[in-house]
Amino acid sequence: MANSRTLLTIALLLVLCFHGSALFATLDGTYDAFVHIFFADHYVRSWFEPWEYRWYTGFPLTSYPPLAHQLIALWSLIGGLKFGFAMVAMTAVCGFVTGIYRFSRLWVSEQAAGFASLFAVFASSIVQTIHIYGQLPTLCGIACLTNVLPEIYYFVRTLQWPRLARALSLLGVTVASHHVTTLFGMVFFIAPVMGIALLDEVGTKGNLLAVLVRLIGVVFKRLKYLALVGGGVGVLMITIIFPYWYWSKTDPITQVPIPHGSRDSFINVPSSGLMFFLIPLGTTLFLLPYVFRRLFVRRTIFLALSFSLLLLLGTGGTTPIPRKLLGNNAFDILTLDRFTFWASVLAIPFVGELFQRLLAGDWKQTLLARGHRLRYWLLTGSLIGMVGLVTVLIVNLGRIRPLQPTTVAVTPILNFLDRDMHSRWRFLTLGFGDQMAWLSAQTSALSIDGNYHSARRVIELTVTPIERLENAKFKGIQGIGSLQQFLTIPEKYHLKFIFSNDKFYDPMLYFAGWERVGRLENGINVWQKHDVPPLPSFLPSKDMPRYQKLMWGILPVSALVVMILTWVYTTFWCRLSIFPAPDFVAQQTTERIRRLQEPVRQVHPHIRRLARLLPGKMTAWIVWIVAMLGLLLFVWFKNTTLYPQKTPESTLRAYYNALDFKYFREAHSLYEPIISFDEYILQLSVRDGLVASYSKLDSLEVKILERIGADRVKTLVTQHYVTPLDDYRVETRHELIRHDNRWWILPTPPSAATSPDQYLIKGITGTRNQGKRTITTATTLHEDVMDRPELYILSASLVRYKGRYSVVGEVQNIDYVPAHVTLEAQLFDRFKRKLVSYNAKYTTPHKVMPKEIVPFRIDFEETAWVREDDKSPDKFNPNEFTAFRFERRPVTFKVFGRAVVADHDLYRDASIQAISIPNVHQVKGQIINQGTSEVSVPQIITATYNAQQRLVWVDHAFMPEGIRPQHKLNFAVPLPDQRQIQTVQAGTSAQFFVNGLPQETFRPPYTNTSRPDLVAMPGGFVWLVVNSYLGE
Amino acid sequence: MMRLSCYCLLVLTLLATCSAPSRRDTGVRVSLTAPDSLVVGQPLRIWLRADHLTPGRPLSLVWQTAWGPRLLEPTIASPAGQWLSLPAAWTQRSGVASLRIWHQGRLLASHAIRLVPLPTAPPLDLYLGSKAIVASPRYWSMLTAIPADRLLNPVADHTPVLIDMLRPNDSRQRINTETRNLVAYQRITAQTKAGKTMVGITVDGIAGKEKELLEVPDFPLDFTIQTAAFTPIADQRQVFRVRTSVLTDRNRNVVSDGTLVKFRCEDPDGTIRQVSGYTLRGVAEVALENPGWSGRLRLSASVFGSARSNQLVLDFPTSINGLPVWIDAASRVVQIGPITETLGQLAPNGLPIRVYIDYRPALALELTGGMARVDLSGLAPGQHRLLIEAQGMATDLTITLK
Repeated sequence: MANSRTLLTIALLLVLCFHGSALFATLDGTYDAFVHIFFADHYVRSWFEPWEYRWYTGFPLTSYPPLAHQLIALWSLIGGLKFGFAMVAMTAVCGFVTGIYRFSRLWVSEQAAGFASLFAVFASSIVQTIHIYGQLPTLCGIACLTNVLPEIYYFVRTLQWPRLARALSLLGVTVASHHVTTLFGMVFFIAPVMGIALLDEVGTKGNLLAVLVRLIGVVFKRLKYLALVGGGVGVLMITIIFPYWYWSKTDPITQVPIPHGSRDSFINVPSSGLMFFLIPLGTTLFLLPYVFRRLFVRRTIFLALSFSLLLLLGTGGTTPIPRKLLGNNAFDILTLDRFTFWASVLAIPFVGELFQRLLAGDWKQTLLARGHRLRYWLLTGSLIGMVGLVTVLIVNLGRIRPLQPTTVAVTPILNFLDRDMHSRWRFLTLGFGDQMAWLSAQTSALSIDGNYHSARRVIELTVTPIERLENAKFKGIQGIGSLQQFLTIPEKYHLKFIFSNDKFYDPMLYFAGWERVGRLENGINVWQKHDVPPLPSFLPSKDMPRYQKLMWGILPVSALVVMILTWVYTTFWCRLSIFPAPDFVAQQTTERIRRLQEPVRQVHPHIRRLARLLPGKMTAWIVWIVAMLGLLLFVWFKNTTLYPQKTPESTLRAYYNALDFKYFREAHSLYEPIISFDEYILQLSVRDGLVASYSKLDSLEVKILERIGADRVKTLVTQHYVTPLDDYRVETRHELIRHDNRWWILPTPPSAATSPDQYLIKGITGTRNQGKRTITTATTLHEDVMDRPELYILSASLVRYKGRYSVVGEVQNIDYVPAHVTLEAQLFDRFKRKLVSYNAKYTTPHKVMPKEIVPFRIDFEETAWVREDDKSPDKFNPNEFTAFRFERRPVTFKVFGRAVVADHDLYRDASIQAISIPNVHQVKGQIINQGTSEVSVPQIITATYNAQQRLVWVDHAFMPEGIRPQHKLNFAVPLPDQRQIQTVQAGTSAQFFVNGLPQETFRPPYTNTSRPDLVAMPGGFVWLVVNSYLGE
Repeated sequence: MMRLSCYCLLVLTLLATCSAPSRRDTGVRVSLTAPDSLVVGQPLRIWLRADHLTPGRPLSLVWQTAWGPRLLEPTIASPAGQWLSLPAAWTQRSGVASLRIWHQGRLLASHAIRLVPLPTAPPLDLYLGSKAIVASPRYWSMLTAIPADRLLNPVADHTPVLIDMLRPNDSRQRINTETRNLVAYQRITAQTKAGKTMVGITVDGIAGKEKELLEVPDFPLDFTIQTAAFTPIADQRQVFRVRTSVLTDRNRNVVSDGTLVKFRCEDPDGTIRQVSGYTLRGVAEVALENPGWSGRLRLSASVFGSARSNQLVLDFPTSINGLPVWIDAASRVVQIGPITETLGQLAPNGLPIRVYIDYRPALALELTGGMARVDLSGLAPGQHRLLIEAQGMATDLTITLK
């Protein structure tokens, strides 16, 4: 068998071949790689200026140790950012493998250390950290730490100063790469190793008490050396990343903790358990008995305690113990998977030893000598196969179960941002996943969002537990709620462009008044908002002292240089071996293994008696492996429904779950097989609308209406859907029959209604605003800038309804071109002091045709969940509204209307028929689509007038279903109780401003203001407007 | 206190004894000869003579324009004086400039020079706004020209400017004006015909860029509506079209494409329709579904603020011949149909049928192949009332289930 150095060399080559090639395939799908690349890009652009303007409203990069990013930046000068990342990652993994080899030699034989280094290449926690998480600084940190530990050990044993110099220089690099690794490494790695070194110094043989006394004695004897190590680490920690500590002390940002799967109960949320516990442990999970048995001996007791504690903390919220140990604050901030990661690293030497014994050691000899050749090869093959399989699964996890959206080609977006000075505004990405960081790394344009939540500074983000706006839909109301606020008043953040890679957000953008610009070559939908001022030339930043900027730019890289010089010096001048001969270690290890090989009866008479009650070694192994397999099966069982057709309820639940996740084949398989899949999918494909296309099933209730015999039931399924715009309760009747001991859903016959016309032909007004008519990169010419369409605000009133203040009114486009309208209202108190301003959100159509009138309502919101007494909702509620809390009563208001020429989304072929008002609380009718396009999301806007035809209230409702051409949709929307609506002030022309000018300066374009189109109702009138969103 | 008073007294004494440094008369006298005006972009030659100036000591020559000062420190080698030349780069901007000679803080001489712009040079800077106005003499737009020389200096006041316009009614309009306070401007009042006014401008023989003014139609006047593609049966399925006459403003300009027209319709069953249509070549057309109830339908249209249409009254007779119903009490099924229409054909698939059982909410059915089926299996034994409705027709019957 090869010697340990050869094994190490093979391991290093495998790192380059396996990780080097796989990284380029997995890089785009990792969670954090692009964030680190973005940080590196910052250092490429400005090494000594830590303020980064591109995310949020700016944040300091002193909030994260810089070394890994600075190294990427340096490498990127040769081959670009991704190349730089790969180079640093490969260096870190090589360092880690070498570190594991050196670290293992403290506990196991040289050959076992070689096997440990081989195992380290494929250790699932490492593979996951590189290929799923892309956590480069963590990797750099652990690579340094594993190399530090032998130096600390030998220093404590031999008191050789060059050892301390090596250790401290390496710890400096650890600090500069990942301070958290250093902080926790002191507790979980360095302290146990120092303890063991001292234990080795006094010897572990003899009476336990005597050993303890000797140990305490040597601790006191070497206290100054131990203090030197601790003090040295402290000084390094403070000095090298001083600006970080300064930032965290002087600029504390109070944030709501962001939920993380590692804090879940892994039993309740098996997917979190899989991701944060089972995958990082991987094969080690099956070998835990050996690791525990190997660790829980007198010599390595400190390491055993550390390993056990790490493993326990890594279980997250499965038990209350981690929360009690860490405290609520630390538990809610830390991501606990890092403890599992460190535990898995501590286990590597002993797993390596197991492999060594199996492949080249005593186990092999014993098994082969006893003639168990087949058993031996089965055991060896299955273990190696398991390591390989787990590695392949982890590397390809992103393909098996996509963790990120498909790769987005950023070049078209970059071209768009570079064009026509689009980078003068902030942008936002939706549905990009972590690729938004890659986009940001390629441009100097600013985004209001970001991918580094620790440094968020925007209040709308810091008060909510959303990681980023980009994935708001996964964070329920708090995500969508935050996003809505950004969409409604984008002027506040100079947010003009949105790149949408997820159609879920499209209706929300449309109804919030954003304009669809079009699709880029990469399929990304671009939305823009008009009338957003560009960013000022000078953006605010929090400056820091010059000395700190210099420290940040110089010290981390200097730490690396010092480390290299120290190691070169100590190796070549001091003749200090990198791989010291661990005679005393090897001797003890050999002794330990010998004792492990001894039968249990030889250990201790008491334990021997106890051991008789326990199963044999092989049985114990089998029990353990079966238990682990059982655990995996349980996880799988929880994730999938094994036998959904057992009852009508379970059948329907499985059906709607499959539909929710778009598993159409699975859904179809639950139908009585009298409808083909093609027909089924065809029936589904003609459905559109919020519920069919933009919803998430929130809850489901199945009620048995009638049992017809034992094998037939009629059911009523009540589904509760949430969408970006509204939540819906949908009731569907199903009939199920039972045969073959399974329940089957009987297909509901589709509507047989046939449209009256086979072929629709309709003249439509095509519009296009050409923008620059000359192809040039110069500023748009004066003659290419169209006049703003003129608006006329017919009326507006400040009203109070259900305790909230709103401004309601009507506005007309009196120009000759369609207008995209933005309406803003400002409220004032009786001393004319401005209280609040807000824009119209959903309760108005933002596109207005020439001479068209539209109603509007402007509500006043404040940033949600800012106050201490605010309670975040437990459930997703798209209608959640945080009303502005007025400290002074508003008595007057102003309305500002602004318009630009619109040339998109001008569909007006959906209209309303069969309007009836059965009572004063409800209006019913049908929306009919007489156009040639399908309306994906119809919205009804209801304007209510009093008996004098004065507008008193405006409301809206989104219809759950889409409407195909020549099809209809029934609706019933509530009407307000007019008696509860209090008009605070009816506005006059003096309070209205259009395109920046007071409306008083215009003459009204007409005198006839009668409204023959209003529908009379008891005590007033009602007017309905359809606003149609056409999907793509 | 005493000590403080002493300090104050001392400070006041020191302040009183201090005086501003006097500007010593060095005896230097300077004579400056320079032109009163100069065309921009030319080097400026001046004659400078200095008496009693220490040889080698420079003078400070300050060239002050509206854009700021520039400093030159010439040394006068000859006691008889010498010519100095200011670079052409200093005389690029028109206006009044001053030349001042300073020596040791004393102003020795000054001279004002008028920098005259060059003749007008292309391109002419032109602005037109609003770019679109209503074609009515009430509205006007403004054309502004800022003629400048090749160094971008505005040309002299009273420079003649010729504005030539081709109006939407094909008439030519020539206006002579001149620059005043750097700009030439002219109101362009709208005429009555909608279209594009093309504007050309010439200054000193230099032609400017073409400018366009859109004269757009005003609010429309009253109009009429009429049906098109009309199938008079109350089947709640067929579509009839209603079309407006050509919408024009008071000057007979056809309104802009996209002008929104609102239609209001009262159905025979008393319900209302609110339908929007927009104009294309002045005509708005909407498609409306035939009513589901036989009777009279009233329709009108309007453009808010200005125009209304006539009221259109349409009669829709029923389309189906009756509602035959077959009851199979034994198997608890009610068969509706075959339902036929006036030509004897089967009523189309999808025809909505409402069935009320014992005054409960309606059960909505659809006709398929002229037939519909009501399943009564869930009903308790006894007498039940069934009301079946379609197309405004109703069949009321009572059944007894065992």
